[in-house]
Amino acid sequence: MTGARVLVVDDEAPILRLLRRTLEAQGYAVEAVETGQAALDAVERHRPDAVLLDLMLPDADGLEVCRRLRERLEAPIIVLSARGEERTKVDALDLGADDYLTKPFGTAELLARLRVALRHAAGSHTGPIIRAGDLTLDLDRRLVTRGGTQVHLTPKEYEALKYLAQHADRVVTHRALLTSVWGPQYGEELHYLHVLVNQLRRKVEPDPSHPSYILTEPGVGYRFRLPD
Amino acid sequence: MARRLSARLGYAATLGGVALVSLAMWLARPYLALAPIALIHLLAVFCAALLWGMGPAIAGSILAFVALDYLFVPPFFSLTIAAPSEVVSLAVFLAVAIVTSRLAAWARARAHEAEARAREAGALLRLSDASADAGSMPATLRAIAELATGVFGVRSCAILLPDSMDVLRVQAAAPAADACALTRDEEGIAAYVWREQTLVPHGPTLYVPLRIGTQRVGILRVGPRPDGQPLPASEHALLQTFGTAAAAAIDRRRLQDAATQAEVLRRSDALKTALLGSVSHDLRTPLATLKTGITALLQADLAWDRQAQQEMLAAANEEVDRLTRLIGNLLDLSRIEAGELRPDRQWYEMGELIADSVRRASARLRDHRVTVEIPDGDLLVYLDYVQIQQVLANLLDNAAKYSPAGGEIRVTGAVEADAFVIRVRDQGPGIPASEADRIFSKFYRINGRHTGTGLGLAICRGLVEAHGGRITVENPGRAGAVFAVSLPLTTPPALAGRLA
Repeated sequence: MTGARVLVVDDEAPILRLLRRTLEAQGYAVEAVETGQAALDAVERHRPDAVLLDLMLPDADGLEVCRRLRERLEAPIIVLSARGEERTKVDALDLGADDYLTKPFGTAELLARLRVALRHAAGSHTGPIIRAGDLTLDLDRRLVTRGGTQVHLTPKEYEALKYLAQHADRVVTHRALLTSVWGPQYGEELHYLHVLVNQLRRKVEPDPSHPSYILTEPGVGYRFRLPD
Repeated sequence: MARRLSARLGYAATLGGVALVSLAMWLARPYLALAPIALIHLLAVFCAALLWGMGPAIAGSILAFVALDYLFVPPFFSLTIAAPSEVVSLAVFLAVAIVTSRLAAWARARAHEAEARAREAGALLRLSDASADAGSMPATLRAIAELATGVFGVRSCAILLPDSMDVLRVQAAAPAADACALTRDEEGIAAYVWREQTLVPHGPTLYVPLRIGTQRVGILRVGPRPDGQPLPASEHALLQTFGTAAAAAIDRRRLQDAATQAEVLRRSDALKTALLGSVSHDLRTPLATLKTGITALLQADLAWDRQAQQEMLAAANEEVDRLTRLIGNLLDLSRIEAGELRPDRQWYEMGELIADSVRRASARLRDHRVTVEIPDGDLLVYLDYVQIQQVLANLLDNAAKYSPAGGEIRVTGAVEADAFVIRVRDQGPGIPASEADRIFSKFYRINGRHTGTGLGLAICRGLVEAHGGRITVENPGRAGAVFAVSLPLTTPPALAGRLA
């Protein structure tokens, strides 16, 4: 979505420079700030279409900034964090962030996630039929087919697949998936989830031990990949 | 007072005993001649000397002489010392009485002394044993205090040592509940004893300086006996000896601790040197590649075609990935060392973890054939996904590094007793039996193999052990290394009916 305005928040000037260059080369309009407070101020001045937020900020707790941004914005927020901070990533996602990137990240990944986030925000919703490779989900008829043959899923398996597909190409935390399938009182019962996803993979993946649709995001959740 | 009573008893018993003997002889006189009668009286005096010492024995011998002379020597019923033989008899009685009682006293004293010596030796032996067995200074002090209560039969003992500010404090006590702070008075006494290095009583308690030669070590505080009485003066000599031995034991423990500390520092320094050497080499290599590649591309006068540029940049990117892994390893290791590794555990399915790990390593495994064997069904293990994935990544890296290209790498998972065991098998040269445990130490590399920093396996062990698991080499000495990671299996919460 060229011309889309991206707010980049990171306290490292070299990273800001590089991100600005890369994003502008893709046709985005970039505003770059170095602190949490500056980010909140920038959002007041003009609403960005997307935010890239580093969670390690000098003046504020990244999660707090994320939460406040989410309170004021509908736009997608992609958080940037360092290795080994899965808990923080998950917390950010549960607080309203849409996706994450782990430093050091490649630009291909960055651009892909940004693209997906913007597409989803623009409401180019998937409509009642979602296609991924040889898999088709008909949400109106609650029907799942693979290569034309119907796949029989239990109600919970279907709910899980539906939620994942509706958030295609974006990360879905364990908690989010659990809640969508089992209800709001659930958030910690990862054992249910992993077994369920395993069952699901066995039914929909061409090679369950090398999943192509339902990918594991270690320590965070899952991501449904739409093959290009 | 007890002694006076027993003294009086001695006299009474002797005189009574001799009188009884005389009476018995008087009744037996038709059947016995004078000689045996006299000798039996002598026997009585002899026994008195043995049992009650010189005083009663002399009294007894006088009574015996008088009885003999009065009752058995003519003229009867009169006390006459007429013939020289009677003087001799008296003299003999007295001599026997005196000599026997002195001999007996001497023997008793010797026996007493031997007993005291034996007790002392026993106490010192037990002290030396106890302090040798104790593994630390607090344990040593406790052992000494407990031993002292046993050896001296007292209710309590405490050891006071100067702290870092040279203030005497109770460092150990038996019973342990007595290890409380000193009162003002006690502090004063302790300070005095420390200064003057002399044994000082304070009510029923004794303060004994512990020193080796002129070197002051501490103070032993000895409480009263169960009857409330302080330790008698007769025990003071043993107390001093015990004190010296205790001081020596404490000093020895101090030296041992210092030696251990020095060794630990030495090893840590050696390790730090190894770290610097190894890390600087392993960091510089990819950096060098990056520098060369990037500067080459920057050079204006070199014309790179698009494909060459792409290749150089791709190579640079790989070096960045390698550096990322290396730095990640270093960070992991430092967290393991600092004990800051807290696995964030959840229930995960093993098949998924293993498959995912293999998939993520696929770029580095592209020159090998990888097979994965996992049991059917859903196996839930309580673990930190990212950490265990790191373990598998390191093991797969190693397998790829040391296996010949085209070789097979097998990853299997299986339930064995109460553990889930993941095995990574390669077709490389294997691990020599002598190195099977050492390879898990930091920076250890098998002779002749120099790639990698040698941190991977140390990290694996840190991460696995943080999960309460074990990592081992299963077939040391044989070709094709098999690394086994064993994670404890606990019962997952029930799933019944939740998945429909």
